[in-house]
Amino acid sequence: MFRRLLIANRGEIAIRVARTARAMGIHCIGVYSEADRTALHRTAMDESVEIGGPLPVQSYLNASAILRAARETRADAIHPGYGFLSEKADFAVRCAEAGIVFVGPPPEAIAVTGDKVSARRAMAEAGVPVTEGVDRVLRSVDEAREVAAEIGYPVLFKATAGGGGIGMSRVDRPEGLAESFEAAQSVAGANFGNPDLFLEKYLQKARHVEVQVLLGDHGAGVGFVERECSVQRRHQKLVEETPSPAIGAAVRRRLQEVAVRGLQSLGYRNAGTVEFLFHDRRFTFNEVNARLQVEHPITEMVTGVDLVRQQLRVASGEGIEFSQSEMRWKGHAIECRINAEDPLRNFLPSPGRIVDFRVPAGSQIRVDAGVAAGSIVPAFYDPLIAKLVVGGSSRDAAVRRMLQSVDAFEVRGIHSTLPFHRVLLSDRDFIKGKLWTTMVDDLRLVARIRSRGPWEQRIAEIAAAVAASGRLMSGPTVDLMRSKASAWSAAGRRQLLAGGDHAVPPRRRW
Amino acid sequence: MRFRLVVDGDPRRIEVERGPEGILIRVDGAEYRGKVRRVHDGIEVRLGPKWRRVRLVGRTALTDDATHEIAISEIEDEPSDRALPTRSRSARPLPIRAPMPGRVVRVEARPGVQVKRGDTLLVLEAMKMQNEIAAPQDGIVKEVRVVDGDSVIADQILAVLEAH
Repeated sequence: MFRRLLIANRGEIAIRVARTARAMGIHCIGVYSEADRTALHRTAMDESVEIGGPLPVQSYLNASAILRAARETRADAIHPGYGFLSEKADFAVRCAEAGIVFVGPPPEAIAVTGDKVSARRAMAEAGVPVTEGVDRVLRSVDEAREVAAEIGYPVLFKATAGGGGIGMSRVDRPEGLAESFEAAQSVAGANFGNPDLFLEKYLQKARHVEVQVLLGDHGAGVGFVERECSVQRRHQKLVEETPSPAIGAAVRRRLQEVAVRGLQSLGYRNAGTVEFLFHDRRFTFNEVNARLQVEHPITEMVTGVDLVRQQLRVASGEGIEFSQSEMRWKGHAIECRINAEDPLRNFLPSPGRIVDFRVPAGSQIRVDAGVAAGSIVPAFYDPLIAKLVVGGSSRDAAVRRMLQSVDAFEVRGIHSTLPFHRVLLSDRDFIKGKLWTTMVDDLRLVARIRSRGPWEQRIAEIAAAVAASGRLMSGPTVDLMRSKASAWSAAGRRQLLAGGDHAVPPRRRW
Repeated sequence: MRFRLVVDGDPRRIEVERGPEGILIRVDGAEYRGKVRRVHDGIEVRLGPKWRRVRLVGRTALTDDATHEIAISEIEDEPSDRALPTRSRSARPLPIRAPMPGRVVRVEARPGVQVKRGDTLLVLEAMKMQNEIAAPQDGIVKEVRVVDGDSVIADQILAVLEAH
């Protein structure tokens, strides 16, 4: 096993990886940017190294700085987490050249799965059902129009280099095709440095279902019970659960078999996920995520498997601890993503200082958080601040426990997606397990959010009292200058208001 | 009436409108309607099913079950835009503020240029999301106070429109 592991990530996933690695007796080395000097993930490590400026390209995406840190701290392996460098084939190559093990799939497999057209082609060759569409890059609007006419509208443009739902564009009618094609090309070019598009049939009211796979040294491995991640907004997952309420034993076996075979055909190793769309009782391949995924804890909750432990074992040559026939699972698990976004204002990003952070606890409740009370959530990174994962003996039991846990979860100082989850968990379709990828928009769930919860109602009551008391006539209690300074002074200012070390004397007393 | 209220360190932008029907409070855009009455030792507020007593003492707000530290700043007495009839909005400089901290990735507004309601003035990036800041109404760009790459704080004035 490795002795020293560098974790090339931040936030909750860096902490989660360190938790397992340290329990295995591995010395953990964290990295952090200038913006993360006070970040919680540093405290989860045995040591940590500053690697650069606040922008991701200066730090967490800076392969040279991370490899330098790894060499200086004598790391023998690097765990990339998700996002950042986790699916960059050239980073995996550079790790190998530096004699450091990359905890993830081989670079060749990352390269194939990272190009959506080549992944589609490879899966089709391995006998995995793929969504109707083309296996080549579309060179012109005319070519796109021809293909679309052949497979029938609506169709979906996808960026070959895409990810995170960026560069996808749905076209319902031939008239809108040229415009969508050009728009999707420019978005893809701007985001991925590659404007290439291909096209698939758009499946309405489909479910997003995925299979976690773990492959050992000689390609032998296991497929896990599927996860369903249909609750999304702008193609970003908000809630995931396992198993899918729509899938029975027979389909489950086929999904697992197909997912394992598909990844084996790529020479894949370690943990990966094969995503499918489930529509009209058929599943078709969507894409491969060549990394540990955000939602992996729900799989851990129903199986008792520690996926990070298995990743480290595979990467160090020790192999997976169980076989497909030994795999057991029971009950149901759900994850709600707690993002620093305001669902009442169209999911507006809400970075800032967290002044209070209260998490639920109890049996079958797991919170993977990247923050605590007092943490600053910088504007530079992903909005995910915590994952709330609960289990239950049945889906109903898990849904009830989740609702209770969401109510017990409180984030103050910034806005979070908790109010969205409260509305979703009370929705009739959700409770029945009737899920589809556009349900958040179709059901207008966001418009149903009236309040952000009891804490905000308390603030409203105090505000009403302040307004009614005539207090506002006598001026502010603090008079802070606005400045053109950076976000750092904003963070500092919040600290000030919170009654930090440098409390401002009130200008007036009553 | 608008102001910024910080309760136990949690900063919120408040708008209050009082009418014959009662009181309307917006907390970062979320609306609460209710009633307010004075009682001998404080104020009673009813936003939900129950009246709740709030006493303001110095920099604390006392309710029947808790004590909260409060701070008030940036009081603006002008009525909110929504309460104004359309014509009185004219020729008023309208500050365009950052809805959140972030980084300016693109400035599209140029001083002196006529813009229409909904036109993108600039693009602000935060948490891997690009947010277009649009003109809230027709007008002329009087001032642009930021350039590409600037970091801004929440509520910072990015540009000024002159509505007409």
